[in-house]
Amino acid sequence: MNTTLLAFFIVAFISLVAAWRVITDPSILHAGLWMGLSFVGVAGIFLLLEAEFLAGVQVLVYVGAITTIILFGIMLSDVGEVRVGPEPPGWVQAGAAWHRGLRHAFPLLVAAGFAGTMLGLYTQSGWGQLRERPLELAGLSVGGIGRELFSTFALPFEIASLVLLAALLGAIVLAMREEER
Amino acid sequence: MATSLLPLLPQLLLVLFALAVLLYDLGNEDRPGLGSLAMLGPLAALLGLGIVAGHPGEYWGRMLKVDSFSLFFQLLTYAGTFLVILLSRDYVERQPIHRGEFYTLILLAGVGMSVMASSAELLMIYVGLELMSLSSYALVGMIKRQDQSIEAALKYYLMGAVTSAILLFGISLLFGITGTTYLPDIASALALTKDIQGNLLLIAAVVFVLAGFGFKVSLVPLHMWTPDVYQGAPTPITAFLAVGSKAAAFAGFIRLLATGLPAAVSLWQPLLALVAVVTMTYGNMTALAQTNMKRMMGYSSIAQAGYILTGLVVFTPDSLAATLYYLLAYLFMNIGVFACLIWVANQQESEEIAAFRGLGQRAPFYAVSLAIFFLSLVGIPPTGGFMGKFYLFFAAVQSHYVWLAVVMVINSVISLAYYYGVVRQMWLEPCLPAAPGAAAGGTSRWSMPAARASTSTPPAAASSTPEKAQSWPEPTKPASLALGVAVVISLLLVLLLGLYPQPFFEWVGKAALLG
Repeated sequence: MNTTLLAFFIVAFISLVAAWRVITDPSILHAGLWMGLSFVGVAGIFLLLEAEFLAGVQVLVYVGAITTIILFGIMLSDVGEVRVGPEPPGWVQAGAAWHRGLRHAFPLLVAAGFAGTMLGLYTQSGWGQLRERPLELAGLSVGGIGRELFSTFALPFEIASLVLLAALLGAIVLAMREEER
Repeated sequence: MATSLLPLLPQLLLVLFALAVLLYDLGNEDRPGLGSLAMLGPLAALLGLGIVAGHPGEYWGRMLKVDSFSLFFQLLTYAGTFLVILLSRDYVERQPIHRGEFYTLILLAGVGMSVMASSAELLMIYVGLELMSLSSYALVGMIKRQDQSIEAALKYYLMGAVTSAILLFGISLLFGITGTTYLPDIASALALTKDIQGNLLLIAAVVFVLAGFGFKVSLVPLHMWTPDVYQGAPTPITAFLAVGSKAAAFAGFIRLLATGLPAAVSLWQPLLALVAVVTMTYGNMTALAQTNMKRMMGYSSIAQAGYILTGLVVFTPDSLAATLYYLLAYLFMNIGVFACLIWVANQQESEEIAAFRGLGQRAPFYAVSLAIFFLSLVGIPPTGGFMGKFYLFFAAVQSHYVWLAVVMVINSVISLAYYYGVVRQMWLEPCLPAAPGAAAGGTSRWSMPAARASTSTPPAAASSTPEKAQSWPEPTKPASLALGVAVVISLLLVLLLGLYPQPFFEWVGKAALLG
């Protein structure tokens, strides 16, 4: 087993476990921190694929900005614990252990089902020229991506800023207190 | 000239007006003429479109495509945006809505729709879709005092985010198979692929991408959001979702299937045929049981998506042209219905079908107009809806989809029942007195949510309402003029499309070639 594969398994394991804890951790603050760890794991996978730019963006945007904002949001609102659904009915409480186990297993089952489907697809033989020229795309340098962004992809790049403006406006107007007007 | 700003002129003008509205609204005062400024946006874009029409081609590294198809859908978008702002003018005076942000988001959503229509590049179509979607999510939740509105926004947002992810998965698979996101290149790569039927990867890609667009046009397995969102959203936004969002999503849909995936027609054609039949039948059957007008229009819009989809299933130049014609007529008949609905809701402070009782005596103009829009939705001459449906029907029969055409006719007959239910309320039921204070135009911006609070919001919200009444100014005018104008415009175009279809036929025929 070569080191890259070993590194991949370690990083993938970390991000999977972290993602599972996001769903199952009863404290929402911890769930937010687990999510940050999961993002770091994904950044590691990008690094292994020689996509340095994506790894950097992943850390800056997802770990740096999104996780921080989510933690801020949690701390500013008075939410300490997540209530996982309503109280189970009596006959379920009899098998409370079973119920708890199910609650932990369900996200695993869904994720495994989805992962199985996608893995099944990815091993199919339909892939086109990408198979023949993987490095050209994967090894695209930061400079190369920058040039592409401001030449071929300039237009969608600029429209993405409008998307941000719309999201910002929508968030502010929905979260604003009425008294302030 | 490859990176000239000229072909972007309509979109740029719309963005400019969106920002102008936003800046003009800064501060606490109530700005006069805000609605008029917002309405100038789509009008300016229409003018810009006239200039751009003379410069067909592809620009900005093939990201922007100016052809008759994109011009058609851009025209639809700008006309729709204009009419929706016209509908909003009265509405935002009576509801606790932040007008500046409301208009800005409508204009930005319009930009997103026009971007979706004017590109053959999946990346651009996706970014346009997101711009449209994010603006719509916020617009749906704009009446923050109403739980229904917030609930609708949350539902729409969560389901929309998931389907967006599915769409992206589909796009990434298509990119993996063909090595490009440019639709004509995807088509030529797929044309070389042997064994399309057995390519599981391609099947998954097609299903994922169809799911992404199917959500936006509310096809049946992905329709769950439609009734709740239609009912909870501010009424002009309901109209916007019904005409703007749907038309733009169909534009992306048609471009994807006709330009990108014609080689995989054997994959998506049977799937979409099934979906179309189920969508029509489900929408019409469920609409029969509704008592709320907006909810009924939600189910009606599901059924209409089914009719429109038949044009894609048949997949001939004629049937695509019929789809475009139907979308054109659909824009005006739906805006008309929602204009009448807003007018009635202003009078009666209710959006139930029962609020239409005796409208024939109280306001014959609106009653007759509404009846004509309904005739058009059912597909009865002399209306645009009839011409569109007839054209769809004809195209289906010509290419041996007789069974689909028959299902469409049966469904139209079913739909007659619930539209007739409203017409019966208008003429055959005794007149209802107008709600106190409403007809006089003295309604404060808060009185409507207060009246509704008894049914939809908890008592706490209702009791806190009177103190807030001071913070919102009284409406400056009773203003149903804007609604009347919207009804007249819609009426004229629905009748024009029904009585004088020839030039429009030629126009959509050219646009449907996607050249």
